[in-house]
Order: sequence, then structure tokens, then C-alpha cells
Amino acid sequence: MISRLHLLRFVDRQSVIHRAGARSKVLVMIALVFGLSFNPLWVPVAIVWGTVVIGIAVARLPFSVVPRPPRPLLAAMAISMIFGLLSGGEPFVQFGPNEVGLGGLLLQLRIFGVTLGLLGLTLLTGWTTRAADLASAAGWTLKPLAKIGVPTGEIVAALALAVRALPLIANEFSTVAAMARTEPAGRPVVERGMAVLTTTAVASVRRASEFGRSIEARGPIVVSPSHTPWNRYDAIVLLTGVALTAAIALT
Amino acid sequence: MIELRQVGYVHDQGTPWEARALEGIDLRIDAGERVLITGPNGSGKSTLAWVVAGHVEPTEGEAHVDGRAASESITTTGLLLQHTRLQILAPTVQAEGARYGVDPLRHRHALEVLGFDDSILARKIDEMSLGQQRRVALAGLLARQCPVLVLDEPLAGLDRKSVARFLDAVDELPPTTTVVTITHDIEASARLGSRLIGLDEGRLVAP
Repeated sequence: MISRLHLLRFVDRQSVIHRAGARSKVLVMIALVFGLSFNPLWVPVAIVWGTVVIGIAVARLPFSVVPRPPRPLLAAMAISMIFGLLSGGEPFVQFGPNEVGLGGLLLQLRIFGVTLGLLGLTLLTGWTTRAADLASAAGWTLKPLAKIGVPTGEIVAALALAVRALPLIANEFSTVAAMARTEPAGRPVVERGMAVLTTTAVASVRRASEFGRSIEARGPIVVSPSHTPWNRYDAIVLLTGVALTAAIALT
Repeated sequence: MIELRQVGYVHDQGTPWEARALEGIDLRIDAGERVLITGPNGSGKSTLAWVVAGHVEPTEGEAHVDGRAASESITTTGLLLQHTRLQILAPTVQAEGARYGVDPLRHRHALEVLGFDDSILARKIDEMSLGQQRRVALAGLLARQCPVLVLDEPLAGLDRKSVARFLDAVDELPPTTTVVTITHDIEASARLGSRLIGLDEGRLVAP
């Protein structure tokens, strides 16, 4: 289920977005995430969605990269939309003899729009940037914070390890979920779900402690600070990012 | 009986990350037969194990276990993973047995065959070594009396004593139990199978 999200899986293509360095893509992503988080209205949501869709086209990615949402997620979204509809609120519309308030439903839809838009930006960055480059770009972005005592080196090392561990954890979650299906029917779904999550968490914690032990044994991880030099593709991505962030801020 | 007809499997089919794992596998394993499947890393052994155990639907061809689609037999085909911790979803050995509703006496007997005494029942899974966890998982499969067992690298990482206990337990299985073992180490696993099947780049080859 998680592994089908194709998180941080690079797709090798020759496009403007691929040729731009990881630093510029991370900067644009941060700007758009902040912009949308502080101004989560319909127009900014549409701008971010448009960025993701146009980004996929410009990066020459097939639309098969877009993950199919798992059925339980769709069911959860449908249930929350029903609750949103029941909560009413402005605007009101007339359905035969009844007046229905769509405010709750529209708010719920906007929350989904913001969440999926942010996820889409993250996926687009992952599809067009090698995971190793993302870690050093994150280090570069956090560098100014080191001046005020933020342990940026440790944060970047943790990020690099998390990026490396993410596919393993996704794979382990799928394995545990598959093993849960071997049980005879009758066990409550919630109990079974909790067992899957607990087992995956235990396996992840064990992996994290193995990582921790190896870091202790080998000394601190040094994430390579090497970056591709700024180029014209960075300029295109950064200028586009500035324009999009300004558009979000001004709406 | 396990029957695979022109089975193929492509990971992430239809996406830029698609990768073929199996191609044109025709294989018949009779009931009660013990076979070893071997091949280099990335040859598709584990994917084949998952197909036979019914956890993965082949993207091409058909996989059947006792006349039913393999995916319909996941509760009766036992799969032992190399990373055993991922298949023990209960906190203690006793709870793991109860999870499958197996007869407690049969569970205790299976544990005994694998070298454990009754004190193991209350032990927490996470306090056990890899070898102990794997033997506990196998005991669960033995107690469930699965007619088909698929063992993925069952001896990897086990010490000599654990290997001996593991092999003894498999020897004690009823002769009707079909056992498919995925292995790198043919020498150590020789007792687990009488037929050797080779796999390379997703295709059956002479071992």
C-alpha cells in the first residue's frame, strides 16, 4: 500500500526540472509548502495542483507515476466528506424542499486539496531528483541555522538515513500486512490493523537502533556537501518558483 | 500439488520503475514432494516463493495449489520468511499460536520438536534471537498443519544447533506435506529437498 506511493523514487529523464539542481527544487518546494500552509485557499490550492500537473508534463513523466490511492484511504475520505456535509454551514443550496449547507463539505474538500497538493509537490521533487542529492540539498538549505546552534549536521545525517530507510520500511509494512492476511477470518479488523502497525514499528525501531549502533561504531556520518554548479535550468526553476509563490501570497 | 503455467511477474508494471522478476515459469510440484529452488541474488527466487504462497498474483500465467488459485490458499499455504520478525504479529509465543487458533497441545509439541520447553510460551518475541524467532515461526506453521510449506532461506543466519533442530522438525512433517525451499546454500539445505530447481534472471534453468 505504502510502497505503491512511489515516494522518493527517481525517474531518469532529460528535462528542465531534472537538469536543475536539487537545491533549487528544494527551495521552490519549501516556498510553495509555506505559501500554501499560510494561505490554504482555493486559488493557492489550484496553483499547487497546476504546478504538480504541469511539472509532470514538463518532466516528461508518464501519468503512471501517480499512485493509485488505496481503497481504505478512499473510504476514509468518503466518510469524512459525509461528516463534512452533515456539519452544514454556508453556502446553502436548495435541494427540493430542503436547504443543505455545503460549508463543511467544501472545507473538507479544501483540506484534501491542500494535503494532496503538498504530497504531489513532494512526489514531483522525488521523481525528478536523486535521493542522495536531496539529502545534501537539505544540508545546504539548513546551513544558516547552524549559526544559531541548530545541529544541522545531525539533522541532515538523520534525513539521509531516513531517506535510505523509507523504502525498507514501506516494504516491511507490505510484508507484515500480507502476513496478517494468512490469519483465519474472525479477528476484528481494528485488532489486526494494530498488530500490523505494531509489528512494523517494532521492525523499524530495531532497524533504527542498528543504524544508531553502526553510527556509534563508525563515528559521525558526513553527508557529501557536493552540489552541481548553478546553471540556467536552476534559474528557470527558481524564477518559476518565485512567480508561483508570489501568486499564492497575493491571492 | 503446485502447478505454475507460464507464470511471469513484473514489479510495478506499467510504471517507469517496472522490473521483470519472473518469466515463462512452467513448474509442477507433486503433493508431498520436497524441492529446493536455487539461484543467484536477484534471480526471482523470493518472488517465486511469494507467488507459490499466494501473496503475489502473477502478472502473467496461472499459479495453482491443489487445483485452486494460489491466492485463494494463503491461509493454508505456510510461508516462512527470511526476516521472520515480520511474520510474528503477536507479542508472545503463546499469543502467536492463539492468533491462528491452533490447538495449544499441538503448538507445544511443535515447539518441543524445535527444542523449546514450556517456558518459551510466555517469552516475548522481541527478547529472542533471530534463530529462536525463526524456530518459533516454523513451530506455528507445523502446528497449523499446512499442507504446503514455502521456506525462504530458512537456514540463513542460524547456528549449527539451530540448523539441526530445524532440519529434524522438517523431517518429522507428514509425508503428504509439500515443502518448497528457497536457498543459496544447497549443501546445508540438502536434507530439505530431493529435487533441485535452478532459477536465473527469472527463468528456470538447469541447476
